[in-house]
Amino acid sequence: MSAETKIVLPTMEGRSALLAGAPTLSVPDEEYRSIRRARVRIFMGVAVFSLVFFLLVARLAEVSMFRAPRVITNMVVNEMVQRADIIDRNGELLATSLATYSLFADAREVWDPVASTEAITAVFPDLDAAVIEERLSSKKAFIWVKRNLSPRERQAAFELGLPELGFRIEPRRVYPRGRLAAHVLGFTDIDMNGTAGAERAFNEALSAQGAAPVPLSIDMRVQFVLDEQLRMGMVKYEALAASGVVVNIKTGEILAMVSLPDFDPNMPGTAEKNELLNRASMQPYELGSTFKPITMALALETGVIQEGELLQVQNKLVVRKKSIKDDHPSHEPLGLYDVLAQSSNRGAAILALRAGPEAQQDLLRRLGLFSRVPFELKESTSPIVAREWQDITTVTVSYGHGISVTPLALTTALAALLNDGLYVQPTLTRRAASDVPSGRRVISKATSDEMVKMMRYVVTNGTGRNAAVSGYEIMGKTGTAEKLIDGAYDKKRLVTSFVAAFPARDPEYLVYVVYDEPKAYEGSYGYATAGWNAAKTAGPVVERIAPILGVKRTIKITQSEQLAAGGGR
Amino acid sequence: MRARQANSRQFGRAGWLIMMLLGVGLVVVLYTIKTRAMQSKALVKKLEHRLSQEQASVQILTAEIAYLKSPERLRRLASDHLALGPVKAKQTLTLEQAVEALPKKQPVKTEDAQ
Repeated sequence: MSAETKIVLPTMEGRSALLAGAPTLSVPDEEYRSIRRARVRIFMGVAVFSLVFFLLVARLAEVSMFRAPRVITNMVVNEMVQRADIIDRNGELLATSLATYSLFADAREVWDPVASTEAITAVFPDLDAAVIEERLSSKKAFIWVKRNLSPRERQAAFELGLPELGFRIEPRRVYPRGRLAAHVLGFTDIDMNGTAGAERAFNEALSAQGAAPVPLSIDMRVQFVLDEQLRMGMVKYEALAASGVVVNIKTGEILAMVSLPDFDPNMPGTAEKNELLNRASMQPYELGSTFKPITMALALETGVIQEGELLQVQNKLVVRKKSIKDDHPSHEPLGLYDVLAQSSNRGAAILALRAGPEAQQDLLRRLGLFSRVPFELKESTSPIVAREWQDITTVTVSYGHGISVTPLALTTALAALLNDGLYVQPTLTRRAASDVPSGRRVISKATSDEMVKMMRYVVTNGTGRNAAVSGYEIMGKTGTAEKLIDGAYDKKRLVTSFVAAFPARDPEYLVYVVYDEPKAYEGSYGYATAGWNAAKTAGPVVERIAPILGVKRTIKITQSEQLAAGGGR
Repeated sequence: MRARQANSRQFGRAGWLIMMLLGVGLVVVLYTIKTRAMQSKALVKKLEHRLSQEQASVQILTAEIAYLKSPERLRRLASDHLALGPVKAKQTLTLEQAVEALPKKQPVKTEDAQ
């Protein structure tokens, strides 16, 4: 029904007439039309208002519920890479991480690269201005300017007030003991990745999230004693280099490992190649007569010498036109003990020839002298062995020539000879009593017992007398080898070494000391052999570390000592 | 009919109003809660920052103690100020050995014995 054709009558009469079929008059209703239009407008207004209101509410809800809080930017961005501490076997701190500030720049924010470069290099004159300017001009969002700043440097950079600069808190590896155990600990690169030593070997354990401190087998006190004695010895004997190892014979734990010259792991970049070399495990030497205990064990194991038999060492011995000579030639035959005590090359050669090359090689292999020392550090090198094993090789190897091994390799092998004949793999990890491996048998217990007596005899009656320390029952063996220079042995350039183990009643610790090219000194009667330097170093080392390690002196109190003590009981 | 329509409109308007008020109220409550949560988060962050600063300080002190306890430094101090040196074998005795080293006490002579 249209508004133009129909009128609704206001009265009841009119309605009745309409119903009765009366004619109708159609007039337009302007008021109704206006009201209807107004209603539409109001509806549209309400709809628009509701829509806007809904949008506002939705936005408010979105902002308050889903929008991440605005990052408040300031000059410091925290990004700490975690790296656990390294401690010694007694919990003493050896390496830790400290928070330092590193300076970076947002090159997009740089207004004037030249001016910024001038300002930055004024504060850090060691930086290369050309490199910095190039970086600042790169428009990159992040560039390093300088890392691991000192507090003073940080303040100076802060005061520059350059908007493009920012700081990042980064850890820095610190070695509070300085040079002590530098080769064992190694160092990290600037991104805290272990690149040498224990830092590299235990990198995974050290860099794990929330990792606990890693305890090494090293005893800081023993490490210091060995380090100090070798350092003093190097000065006194004018040696080019020195190295030393202390191991627990029974557990295989390395208590100390020193290589000189050394470096400061806090500044590894300043170290020379020569200083970075861990001579104890990376430098193969012909170690001379410290090999002879192995030849003695070989003779006992193969039964090539009868009890009480004397070897004709006073006679000439020529093998492949090479005359085997002794430093202290004997004019009479020697028994097994005296062959070792007087360090007779001929005696060792005779025994090795009797045992044969196969048996000799077999024993050397079982003692781990044909392969790198299997311990945690990557810094462990393989020995240098003759390509062709001739009878002359058998002879020279019997007294430690013609084969080059690292001090650590020989230490491990000699430890096995004194450990009831059991080879225990060396380790830099602290071993609990329950974790000590049972060991691999390389010689019989009877031979091992005999070796203990024989090496004790060297110190009481032989070339190792200079290493004797009252009460600690040191066993030992000297070793003096000429260095092979351009294919010929040089009599004036020596490598001297001494192996000392104690106490003889139950061998527990072994000390191995090596000097590279020591010189004769006042009081050595022109000698630069091991008895005059390496043995004189090993003795004081034992004297100082034995009380630390809880080894008691066995002493007999004499009447005069009693009287000197005075008092009464 | 008209009255019903009028009532319906009134209810509709009231419903709208209530819904709007409810919406506004909810948003305000939500905003307050969110603000409080953010404040708490900021506080936690601040505390964590302080904690890490304290940990860093402890770490520095530990490193400093380690440096101060360095054997080389102690040796230098001991020799410079106390005239101490490395231990010699003869300076060490166990308690039993020390007792052994003491001379036996002479028997006490009494007047009766005389």
